[in-house]
Amino acid sequence: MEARVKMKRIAGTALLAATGLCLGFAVSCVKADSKTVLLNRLKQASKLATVKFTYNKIVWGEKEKRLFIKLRTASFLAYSKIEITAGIDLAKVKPSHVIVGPRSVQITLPPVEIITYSYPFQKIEVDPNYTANRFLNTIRVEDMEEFLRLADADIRRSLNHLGIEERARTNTRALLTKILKKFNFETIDIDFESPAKPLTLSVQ
Amino acid sequence: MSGEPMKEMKIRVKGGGARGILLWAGIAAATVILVLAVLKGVLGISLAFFKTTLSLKPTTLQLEDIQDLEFLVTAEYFGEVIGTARDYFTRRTLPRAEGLCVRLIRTSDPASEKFSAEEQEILNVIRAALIQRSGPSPAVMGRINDWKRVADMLRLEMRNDRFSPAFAELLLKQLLAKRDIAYLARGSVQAGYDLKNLSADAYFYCPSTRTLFLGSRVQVFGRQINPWFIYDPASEVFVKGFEIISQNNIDLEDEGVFDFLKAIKDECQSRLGDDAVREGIETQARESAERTLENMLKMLKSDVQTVRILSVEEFERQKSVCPDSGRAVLSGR
Repeated sequence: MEARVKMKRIAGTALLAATGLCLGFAVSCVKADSKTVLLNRLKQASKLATVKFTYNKIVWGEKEKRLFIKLRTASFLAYSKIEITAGIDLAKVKPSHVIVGPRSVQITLPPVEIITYSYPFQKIEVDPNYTANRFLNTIRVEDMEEFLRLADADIRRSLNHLGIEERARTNTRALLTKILKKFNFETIDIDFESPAKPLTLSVQ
Repeated sequence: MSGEPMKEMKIRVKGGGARGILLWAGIAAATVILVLAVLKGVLGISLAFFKTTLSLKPTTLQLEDIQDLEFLVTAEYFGEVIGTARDYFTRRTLPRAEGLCVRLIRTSDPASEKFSAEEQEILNVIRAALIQRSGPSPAVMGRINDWKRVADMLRLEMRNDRFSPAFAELLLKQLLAKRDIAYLARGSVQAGYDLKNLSADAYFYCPSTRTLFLGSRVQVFGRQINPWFIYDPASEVFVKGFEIISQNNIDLEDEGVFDFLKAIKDECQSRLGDDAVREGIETQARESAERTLENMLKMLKSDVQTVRILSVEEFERQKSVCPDSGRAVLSGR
């Protein structure tokens, strides 16, 4: 009789705990995540791309594996290209940034930004001679994708040190001067706002 | 005499004990290995004994080319698509296989036909599908290398130069059994106008309506699916560009496997482009470009009130409608 009561108590407690867990889970699911990425959407833009850089990158990766002891390291080698276009966002030019005189114009442009960043898979060539599996340690397709992600992250981290900004400024200034000359301006003064943050690619 | 059996018994017990210890040690070791394997494999708990680490050796970026651009990006599409080997085989390989079979059927001497290595591979799959379709019957298996016989069998599987649905499905199964993968991909598409292509006679100003007309076509500037869709350590947002949903028989040491993977990724990219067009990226790009140019011209205190970007035909029609058309806009402040 006592055992039955004990069992009932345990079952009741378990049921209560399970309900609590479910409720907790439901509440956590309902809560909006500020980092939610919204996809399948169209966005208007007004970005002027004035320079495209193409870089070569060798992706040399290693896979270390332990099965109690360290196995021989498998290697991955690929040759890849990265295409980066830079320019300015014309939507960020405010009327107060444009001062028009009788024959002169003075414009303060927003900072240079990355317009597109492309690490095209079509231009990634895996070298089969140096992509070597080892005993119990093979390079799988998931590993290949991870190596490419590591390389991609590596490139993105160095975006700010590739001289993109300077060249994009020069090209943008030259292009806008060419266009503004057609408006019969004699004196064209183009300046850039100083960047508030390092060069990054903003998707959202 | 009475002590003898006792002594023997003790020795036996001692011997049994040593074997027992060894046995128990073995069982314990096996249990530990089993538990570790379960922890690692089933529960995914990382253990130092089973650790796998991927690392990248430092390599530099080498500048290959710098190109001057004059491109106005006026619309962007961010999308997610799925690309599967099944779709790739259906859209690319099956039509090729049908073409090959039509060739085999129509030729007077199928044995003398020459095929490339890739075509040969497709034909091998077709033969495997024919064997499976027949039962597999020993009569068919014995003559499957006879091209004339293969052509005869294919005649039964084709209607109007297309495979019957059942045979097409069988062929797909054969192809997928050899290699299968499905990717979830996230990327972006940009569209806009190349200002370099805007010639002097591609625009005019209509003073009566204060409208600037441009004759230009929207261009797709880029379609990107990168390894990372978003890599933002500052806000801790990391979204993969390509994610493997499932895979079967993908061995990176197999010949042609990288081309196969690229082809599936190509499928993803072309779907992303199709989705962007379906969502109206071209209209959005045109409308957005008109607004951008209007704003810029207003800031430059130009007479222009409206900007219209038209197709070449519509542009020519507008030019004939506006009697005082010219390029006065550029000096019309």
